[in-house]
Amino acid sequence: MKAYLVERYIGIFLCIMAILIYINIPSQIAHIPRVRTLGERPSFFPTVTVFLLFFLSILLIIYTFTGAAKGKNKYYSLNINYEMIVLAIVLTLYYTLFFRLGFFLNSVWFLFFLMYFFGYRKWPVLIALSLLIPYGIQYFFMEIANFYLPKGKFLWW
Amino acid sequence: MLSEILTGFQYFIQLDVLIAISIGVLGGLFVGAIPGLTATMAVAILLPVTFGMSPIAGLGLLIGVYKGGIHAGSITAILIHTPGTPAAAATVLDGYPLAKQGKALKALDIDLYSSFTASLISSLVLITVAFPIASIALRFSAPEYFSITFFALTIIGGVSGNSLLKGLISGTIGLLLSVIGLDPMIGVPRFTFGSIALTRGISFIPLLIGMYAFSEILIQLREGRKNLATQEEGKIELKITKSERATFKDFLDVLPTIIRSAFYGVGIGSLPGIGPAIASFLAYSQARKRSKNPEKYGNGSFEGLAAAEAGNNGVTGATLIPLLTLGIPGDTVTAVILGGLLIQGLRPGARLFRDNADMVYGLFMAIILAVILMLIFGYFLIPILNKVVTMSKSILFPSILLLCMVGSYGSAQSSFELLVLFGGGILGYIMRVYEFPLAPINIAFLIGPMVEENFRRSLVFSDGSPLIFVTRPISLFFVVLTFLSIYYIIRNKGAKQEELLD
Repeated sequence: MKAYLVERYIGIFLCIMAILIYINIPSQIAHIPRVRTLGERPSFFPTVTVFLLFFLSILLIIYTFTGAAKGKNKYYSLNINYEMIVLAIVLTLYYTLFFRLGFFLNSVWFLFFLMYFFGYRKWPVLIALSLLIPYGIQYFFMEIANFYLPKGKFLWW
Repeated sequence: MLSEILTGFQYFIQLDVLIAISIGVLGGLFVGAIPGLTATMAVAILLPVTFGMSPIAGLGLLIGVYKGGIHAGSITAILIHTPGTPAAAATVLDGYPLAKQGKALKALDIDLYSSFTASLISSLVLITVAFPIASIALRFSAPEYFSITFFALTIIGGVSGNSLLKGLISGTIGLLLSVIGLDPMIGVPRFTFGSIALTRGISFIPLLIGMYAFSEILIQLREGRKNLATQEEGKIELKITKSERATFKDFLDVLPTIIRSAFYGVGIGSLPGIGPAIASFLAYSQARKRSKNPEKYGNGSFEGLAAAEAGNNGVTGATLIPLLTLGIPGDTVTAVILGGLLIQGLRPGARLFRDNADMVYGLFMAIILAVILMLIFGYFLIPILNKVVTMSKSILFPSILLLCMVGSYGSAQSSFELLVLFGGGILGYIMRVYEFPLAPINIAFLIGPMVEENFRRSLVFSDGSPLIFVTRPISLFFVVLTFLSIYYIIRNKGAKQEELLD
């Protein structure tokens, strides 16, 4: 799609967002009367920022109607392809299984699948890396950096 | 002062600090040498690792990665005609032609010496000017801090992308994200939508990792899986013999160019938002103007190579000046390093120099060590780095994704952080595709609470009158500077940048 059209839609989207955020301010920020020693209310800064966003979005929309914007021979495309969709599915699965399988098991299948999917075909290396990288990361984070990583419901390993 | 320097030295001369800096520099060299992996990405991924470290070790690790990464981006520029990091874009111009002429090893050596000298000069400038600037900044109060941060945000928004408007929108979105959570002065929840996780606000670690690391992988996936294959095509074979290496005389020949270019880098680095890529092109074009052999530039000139590399490495120390003295990150990497400082409980700014001067001295020593290690590792690891440049991304990317997720999860031990990571990655991807710069959103997000607090405190002082920002001289100076900068950016936007890149 032509760049100026994309920018116009982004401007409209941001404008709507700014209005929605502004409408939600009373329900999302408790109303506290202005106290002299505490300065402005908690809703003051978000309101100023929302107004700024609204103003800048309007400017962006106006800009897309100018000759300078229309004259650019530029196109934008998000280019969402098959690989990205697969990655999104894999990440959703990883997130869902994170506490059930635990970090190690979950990461083994994740790495194995993605490395294979991204085109790596040396099987011994693939298997070794799928086991060693999660083990190394788990060892570093749990033993050295003292982070807790979920162990999952299958503690047999 | 001497006792603070000695205490700083005690902090610095610990085994964990030395190991952390060494690993940082090594990691930076490897990451920078792989096309598509940037120094910012590496620093963001390693941010959570610094949790359990001492402040100097953690910050030394991040700064080591930064220094190593910026230098190593030029290795791929020389060997495979692809800059490893955006900062090395100008290095390609003379680096690759030199390699094609059979001078790859000499080019890599000159490149390393230029990086080292410029990085050292830049770090020394930082050490020299940081304390005086901090002592001036100690006199600032809320209105001055608000005006300075507002000025910095405007400049970063204006110059870090191709459009002032997009930069400002990016910064405003960052400010809006920063208000989620508890109000900084009264503690009232804002935009939490009843979620306990949101009461803490959006964590900056997963957001930064998502925006810089996860979005980078998505960008690389745009061209499909074939883009991840090993890049062997056009690679220059490296013969490593003593006679092929650069001599001290070769270095002396380009030393004046290196010093001049380093100072261009220092100048650009100390201004917010511009970054090493522009510094590199500026240094390169200035060196060509002054050169006796300008016709050699672009066809394999050691001077051109040295200028480009000294220009981008000259930024690496200077960019820490506004960060450490005023708490304002000048670019994306320093925004992430600011995150590292906050993790360690250190709030950068004038008070850091007053209350933790020993820590600052320790940090300066760590920076100098990182520069020296960059020279040593860079010299001896050329054969290994030569192999790394063509490393398969089909192994790297899944591993990086895993590290991103562990780091994000570990930052708050909550699965909500993984959602912030994915959200940050998607937002970062969309912004990059539509050419909204990432630096303003991240910097505004990080310094948003500081902007708000200073703004509201100022209004408390003035009993609600915004005139306080124009009745105090320093504040007025920065307000005027902000408007002048906006005027200048609008007038010169595009033209200068294109001229520079030509």
